[in-house]
Amino acid sequence: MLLGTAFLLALSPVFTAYPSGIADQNVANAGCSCHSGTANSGVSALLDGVPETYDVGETYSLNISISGGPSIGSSMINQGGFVLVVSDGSLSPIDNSTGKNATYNGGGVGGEKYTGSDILTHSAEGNDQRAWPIEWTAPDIPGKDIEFQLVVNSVDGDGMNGVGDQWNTASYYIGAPTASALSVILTGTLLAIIISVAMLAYVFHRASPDAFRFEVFWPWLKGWLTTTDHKGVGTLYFWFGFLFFLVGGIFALLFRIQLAQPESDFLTQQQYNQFFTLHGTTMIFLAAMPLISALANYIVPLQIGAKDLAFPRLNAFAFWLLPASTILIFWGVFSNGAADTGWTGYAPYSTTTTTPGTTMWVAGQLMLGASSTLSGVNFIATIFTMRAPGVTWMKMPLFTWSILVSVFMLFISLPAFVIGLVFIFLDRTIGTAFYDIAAGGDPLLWAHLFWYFGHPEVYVVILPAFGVISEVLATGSHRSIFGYKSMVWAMAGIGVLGFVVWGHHMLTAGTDPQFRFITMLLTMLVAVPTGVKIFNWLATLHGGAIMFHTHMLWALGFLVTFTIGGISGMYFASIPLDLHLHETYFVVAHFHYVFIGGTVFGILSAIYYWYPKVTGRCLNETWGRIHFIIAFTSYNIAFWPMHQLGLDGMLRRTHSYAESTGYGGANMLITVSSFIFGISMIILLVNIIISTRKGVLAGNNPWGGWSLEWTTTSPPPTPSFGDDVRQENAPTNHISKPSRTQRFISRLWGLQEEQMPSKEEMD
Amino acid sequence: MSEYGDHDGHHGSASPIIMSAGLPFLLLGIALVNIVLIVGGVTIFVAGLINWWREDIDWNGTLEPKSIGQPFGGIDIRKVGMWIFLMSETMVFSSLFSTYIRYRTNMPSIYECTPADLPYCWIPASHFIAADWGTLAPGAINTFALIISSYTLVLALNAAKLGKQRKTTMYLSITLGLGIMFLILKMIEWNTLIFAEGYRLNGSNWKGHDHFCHGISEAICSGHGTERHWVDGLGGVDLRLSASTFYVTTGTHGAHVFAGLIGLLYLIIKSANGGWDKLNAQGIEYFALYWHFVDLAWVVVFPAFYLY
Repeated sequence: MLLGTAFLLALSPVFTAYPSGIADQNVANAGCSCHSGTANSGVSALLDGVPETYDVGETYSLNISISGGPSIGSSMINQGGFVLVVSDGSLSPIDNSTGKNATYNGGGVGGEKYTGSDILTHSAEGNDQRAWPIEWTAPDIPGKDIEFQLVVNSVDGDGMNGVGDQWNTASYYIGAPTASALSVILTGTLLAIIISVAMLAYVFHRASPDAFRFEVFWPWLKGWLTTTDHKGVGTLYFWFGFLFFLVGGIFALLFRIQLAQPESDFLTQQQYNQFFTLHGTTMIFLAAMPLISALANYIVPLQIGAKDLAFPRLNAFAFWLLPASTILIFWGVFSNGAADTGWTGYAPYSTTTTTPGTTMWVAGQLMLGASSTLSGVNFIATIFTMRAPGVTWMKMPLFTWSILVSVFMLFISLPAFVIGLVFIFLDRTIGTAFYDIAAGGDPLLWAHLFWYFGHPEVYVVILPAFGVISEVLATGSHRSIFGYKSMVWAMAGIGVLGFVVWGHHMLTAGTDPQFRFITMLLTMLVAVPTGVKIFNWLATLHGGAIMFHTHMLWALGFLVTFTIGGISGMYFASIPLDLHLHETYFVVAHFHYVFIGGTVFGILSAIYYWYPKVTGRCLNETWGRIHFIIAFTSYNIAFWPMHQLGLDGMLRRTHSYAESTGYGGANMLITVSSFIFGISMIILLVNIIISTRKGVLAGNNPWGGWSLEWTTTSPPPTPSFGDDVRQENAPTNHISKPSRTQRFISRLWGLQEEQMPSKEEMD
Repeated sequence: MSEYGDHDGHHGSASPIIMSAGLPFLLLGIALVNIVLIVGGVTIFVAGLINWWREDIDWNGTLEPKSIGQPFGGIDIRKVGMWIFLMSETMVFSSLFSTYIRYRTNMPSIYECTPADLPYCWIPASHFIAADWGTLAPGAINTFALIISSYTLVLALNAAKLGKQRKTTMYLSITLGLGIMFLILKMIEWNTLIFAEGYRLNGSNWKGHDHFCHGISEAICSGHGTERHWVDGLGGVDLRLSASTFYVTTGTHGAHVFAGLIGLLYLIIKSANGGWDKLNAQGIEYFALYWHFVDLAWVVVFPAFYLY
């Protein structure tokens, strides 16, 4: 099957992975920047005389013209203009209507932006024309693929920039058109997935042709497409999230190739910007949050003894909005430029950047907002109203608590983000002026709206991991969690504090010094509840009978990496340190230590922990341990050096760096390790698929958990529980073995040995 | 509404995937100004919505799920859900108001503006609206229309609980009519503001009409009585931010009214089919929670944007 896939991929149209077209897509797309707005389909950019093939060194006469656009006013000041960029050969004017005057190309952008290509534009004289004759001299090398990109402005002649003017762009080719690396890789990925699925289907078809009749297949597919059961929707969330976890990873690996060597040009600057923007958006909104939703969907109703979520259909709606939104978020990839704003989308750049994908990217995130609001209503209502008898507030499993707090935070903070996005969307489409400095607008407003959401969002993705770790560490060391109440209050404390610390993302943005100072103190306060949790986890382990299952290994790994990430976070809370470290790789190191070392490790732990509940079979432990060792090691080797790079002053979001900086060695190490980390996830994927058939049968309660999800069958029935469900009291320290220290202390206090549980009681 | 209960849990629904499929086309259409995409997207969405309604229309409320445990024991789960949803809606309008306050307090108002401040003086929408009854009337009537519509909705609920089907349908229809009137008057008002008053999103250099100099200082508007006019040679006011906040805030509210009308349509169809009775009037009650919220939001928007 693998051979067949490789064969089909080889047969598919061959891509040029390295872009050989016009170096600067962005400027070429922008048109003359003084005629703002998006391209108008009413205007056509025409280039006549482009030959089918060219002769070496031959000169061809071309004619540029505009059709359509606004009618020309009476004053006749200007009529039109153009910018023509060609990927090879040279352009030259025929008369004085055209020239290479930098003032007219791209609003005064200098010629250095067009490295490797030639550019021609209209002159002051040519401003009153709508057609321009020019010449193109073919390159000296035969058989190259040539791309012409033409941008024309159809001007209404009122002499005012922008108002009423329209522009459009068109590409002409000699030979094959060259695609951007981004389109190539995503089309390739899509193709690979489709072919793999087809091959897989074929293999199953050969095994049992009967199963592939339409009457058998359609009910199966329809079941998945229309399911409203929390377990079905949770499974859909999982596969969606896992797929985009891999997609986001591919983005990261691509720009790691770019960064592996100094002064590399594997990607252009614009592609690099688009890659890391989509990496951020994908990982947070399309990977981490769906994976958390998957856990929450599947596990929360089981843990509280509910038959389903409160509003199953809304739940399905919330899920299906996600795949629909990806059409918009990735739209730009296939239409000349994805969003290049960073996942933060800082205004005013996000309202003025001309990459067409940015508007769609904003629209897609609006749909994500709708999705999160719907699931927010659902989870809060479910946890508030559908807990079975016995699942009282202070006996609710910590994972459910963590989901409640995190969903609550998301729910309250999200509207600010959505409204901020609506402002960007309208600024880009109907021309409102919310972030327009010329109109008196304030780009910091976006930063406030965004981070008012964005900081709680950070806790939204980490709190569920806390919940998972609390469950795993407790069952993994055969004890109840240490300090249950303080765990709940710590999460609630993080939930409250999370709303008042967003200013620490803006310490260098010129905000009020008092605001900054208060933010600094409040941010440092967050370390208190987080510290409480860390110490409670350590105390849970202390004296417990620890079983080193894979999920436990991930949880222990989490304790190390998350603590490192948490401590490096404190550096940014401190204003003076932040002034130095902001916008360096130290930030990248910090948030990858909390996002991967925290959230992703938590999710991975949860996958190994609850997989038996979902499928009835355990994941393969040996491969799980191999996966853990490879991933944990390579992850730390990949991200630890970033601390040093940051302290040395390597800027984040930077496309390349000079050889003289000496960052090359560390970056190569990071790239190699991140590839190993990425590839190690394939082990998990294969393990998940194979273990559904070959895994060890798990039974109802393989790990010795006490909460309600372990009382039902694996996989659970639908509806998940009957009417008679009731949670018994959690056993306290059920087989806790007193440690040496505890025994020492109890002797010190004169306690009798008999007061300690005996060995028999422990078993 | 059958999704609220276990009797529906097994057979699923096609609505979520259909409705989700419509939305990207709608948003793409808006971004690309493509009417085909917009109409197509709305059609797909409405198809999903109609299917949703079809699944719900014969639900008679006998399995209304109740909350158990603290703190909402015994209360309908749908009611809790609606209140939680309104929490999010409150944050939506809070964000809009934060933006409005941020920008409005950032600039001197046009009434205390000096030529040196130009063009960054704030001309509030109320300057155009509250000046005379002709322009204020739509907003003022709308305020009462919404308040009355909240009342008629309560009457509908009452009638439904008493089992009076025709009265229920009538009151729901009156509510719908008042909502439609609200939107029509809003269109008239926006039309006046945009085309007669020139209060536009692209108004970067707005100079007062002669009859609009009232209240504006001598340094900017000279002359007396009805003869006052913008001082010659003085630049205009940039009212893009003022217009942006006004149109987007009132537009968001209008969108909420519109969404409410869609919901009302369903309530009316169900009422005409005799779907509401003594045991099953909660649907109207929970919709009314939303409708009262939209009403309440207007009661805050109206003075902040139309009067002050």
